[in-house]
Amino acid sequence: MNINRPLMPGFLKRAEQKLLLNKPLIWSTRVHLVLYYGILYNLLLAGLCFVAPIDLTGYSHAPYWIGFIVIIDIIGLTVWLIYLLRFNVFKKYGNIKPLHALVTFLMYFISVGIIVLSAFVYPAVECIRANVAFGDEELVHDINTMNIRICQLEHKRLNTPWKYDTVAPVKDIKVKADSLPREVDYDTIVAPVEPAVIPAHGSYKLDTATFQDRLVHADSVVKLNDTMYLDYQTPDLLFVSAYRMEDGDTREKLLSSFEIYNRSIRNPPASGENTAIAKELLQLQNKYLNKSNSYYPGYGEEVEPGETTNGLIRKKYHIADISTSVYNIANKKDTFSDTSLGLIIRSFYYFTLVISLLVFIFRHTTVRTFFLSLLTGVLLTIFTVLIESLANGGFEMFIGSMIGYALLFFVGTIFTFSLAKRSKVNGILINLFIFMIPVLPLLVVDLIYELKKEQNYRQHGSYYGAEVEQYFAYAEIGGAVLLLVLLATYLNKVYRRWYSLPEN
Amino acid sequence: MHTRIAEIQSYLRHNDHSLAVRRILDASLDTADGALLQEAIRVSQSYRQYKQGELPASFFESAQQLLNKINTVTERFAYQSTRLVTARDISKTYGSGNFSLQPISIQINTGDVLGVVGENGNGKTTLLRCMAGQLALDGGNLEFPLLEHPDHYDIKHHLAFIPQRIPRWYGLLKDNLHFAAAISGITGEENRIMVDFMLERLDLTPYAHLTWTQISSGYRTRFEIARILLQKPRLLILDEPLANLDINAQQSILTDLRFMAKSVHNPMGILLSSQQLHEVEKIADTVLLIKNGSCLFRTGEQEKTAAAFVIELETTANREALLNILNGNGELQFNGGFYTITSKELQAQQILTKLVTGNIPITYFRDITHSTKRFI
Repeated sequence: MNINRPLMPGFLKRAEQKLLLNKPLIWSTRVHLVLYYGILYNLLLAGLCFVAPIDLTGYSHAPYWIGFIVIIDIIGLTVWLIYLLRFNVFKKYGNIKPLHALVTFLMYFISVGIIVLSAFVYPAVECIRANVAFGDEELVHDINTMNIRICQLEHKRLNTPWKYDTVAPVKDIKVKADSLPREVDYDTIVAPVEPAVIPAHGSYKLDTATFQDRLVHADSVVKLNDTMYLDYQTPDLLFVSAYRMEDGDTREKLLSSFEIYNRSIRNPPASGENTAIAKELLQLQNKYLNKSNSYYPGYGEEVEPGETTNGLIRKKYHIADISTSVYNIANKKDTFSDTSLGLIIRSFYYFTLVISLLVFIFRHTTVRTFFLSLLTGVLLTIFTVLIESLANGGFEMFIGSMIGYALLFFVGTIFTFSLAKRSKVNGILINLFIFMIPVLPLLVVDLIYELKKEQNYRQHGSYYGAEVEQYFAYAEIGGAVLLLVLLATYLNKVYRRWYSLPEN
Repeated sequence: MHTRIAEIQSYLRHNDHSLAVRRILDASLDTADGALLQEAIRVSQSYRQYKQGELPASFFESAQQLLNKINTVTERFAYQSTRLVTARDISKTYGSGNFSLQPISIQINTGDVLGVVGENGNGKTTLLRCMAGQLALDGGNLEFPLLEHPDHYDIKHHLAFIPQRIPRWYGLLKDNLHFAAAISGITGEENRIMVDFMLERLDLTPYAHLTWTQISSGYRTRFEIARILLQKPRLLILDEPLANLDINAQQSILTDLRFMAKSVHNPMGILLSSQQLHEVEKIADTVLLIKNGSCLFRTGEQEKTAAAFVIELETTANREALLNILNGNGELQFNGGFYTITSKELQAQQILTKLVTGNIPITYFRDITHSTKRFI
């Protein structure tokens, strides 16, 4: 073997030779080369992302990087496909084992996966860099410090009378029928109208439990008499907002307006301290201020007639830009947080799955049948949507149709075993069936969910109560398992039979 | 001394070195001994190295030593012919209805070479594709006695079909050969030896590291044959394999196919189509002539045995001179290129004697009494 590939080490050359002579299936998928070059590429990319200048306080450049990397990925994918299409054990009627289809699919999935993975390298590096540069503690501390220092410097302006509500407990609240909205929008209302809180011109009559709760959480309370209190609310002193940091598990917690008030306005600093406070604030401002966060630099910072005190302070200290910076940092830090991890994993999985399935189908069917299958898939979707719109059907009808198609395709695959000639229609049904397997359990769960929602609405007048959300995740995993099981047991035989049938 | 060994020694003595080396390779393969096979490959490589000039004595010594070793294990050369495929009244009509292959029955055993000849568009390729399981039959059936409950995949693994227009190969030619051997279960060191063997056997070693676009169409056919043979098919079907080959290569490939069919290592049946009927007739056990989708003639059929002796003749002499020589003992036809003489009285040798004694200049002479050529 004469291998002159760039950056190919000796061990890989030996592996290539060994695989060619002993494991032609694995060799033909080129998974070893994709893995090696893919890891090399991802490492190189990660290194590049680490040294590339990133302004962590600015807007993320991830979309541009991802766009650029996707172009390289498409080129990489094309090169892989060119090599992949050269050799095909299945189409050459070689010795294939019962697990041939499963192993082949897994090889494709790994190869595609390593290519798709590179699209996530930049966001990952950005996340790491943001976490290294700005610790959670540091960020919370800086936000608190900035808010306190601003309030300290502006304590005279901010020391204004507080707003208050008059609250009174009542034993039993009767709701007049005519006080309810005449037309109820059941799509948006999530529960029966809450009778506990009824606005009464700035004063509230509360049931005992709500009343007690309000007293406990009130910033300041003045008792007027046994049944009437004034509930004072601290003005908004959270100038620098703390996006995504509210529920963090930092030792230092974000201060509320009330706490900031106590530390700054209630006990204002001596006038001699102002210079030091301003200096400290300026340092923090410089740390976070990023003028490029404004779409139009300077826009929105002019003082307009009738400007509120709060607005004036915000403009004076460039709070909008600083808050955006904090938002950008927090956003980058949380790219792979629990809330967004599911979405990232799903995008990786489904992109990889779709490409792997397309490659798998292409390698197990004729070129004409492959493209006819794609065309049929598109036409069927258009047809279904059209019928749906004409019949005024709901989402459940659409899902029902999809499940119906999957069953129809499955029946089509069974017919493969009774055919004497290779039929294009049969090939299309097989190809479309394999494409639907991973989402079939998801469709079933979704249909059950929709039907249950409908049933709840009929019985209780509300769509809620059909809590099957957790089953969606199980269905996704189930879809993947079902695909693997069918590849190992059924689809292997179906493709073997269909492809080798004589033509007409 | 085994007859095969004696035959090879005779080739060596009479300077038929190329043939001798090929037969040494075949014999060593049939011993199923990896060491002998590697030794034979070295002999072949040594021959290739010196074939332009004079062969050194060391070549003959090593060849003789190898032959002596092979001679000790000649009991391995025996093989029994087995039935590979039986086609009973297979027929095919295309959807457009403009061509029909009429029912034909064929039986092929291991070691058999069956030639299908005929003019273009008469059904040769259709018959071959039906036999290869590529086209669905409209009538009749195919039986593969060596396979137990075969599915179509098994059947296609069991046989190999080389179309006239060979699909392009990608990558290095040698990689393709390694791959073909590996997918048929020849792995590891055996794979390497078998690929080297096949390259030597078909004289392809100098081209092994080239790509498809770097070799001529004749070599492409050879490489395709090498690839298919590495997959060890039991039935080899070739559609017009001679189409891209020069005259020497045609002879060489046909002879090789003949030997390979009877190989002990992998005895197989060969079904090939061609328009070179004389070449095919030379090596085929049976020749089928297909015309308009029907089997017009099959060699060995007693009922269609010629009633007269027929020869083809190319000469510069005129018709009168030839008629004088025949002296009323035969009919003469001229098709513009050569004469056809049909005689009930004179056999081919007698006609030839008359022509020589009559001083008729002869540039081409062939006895076609038992050839399919009579029907074309």
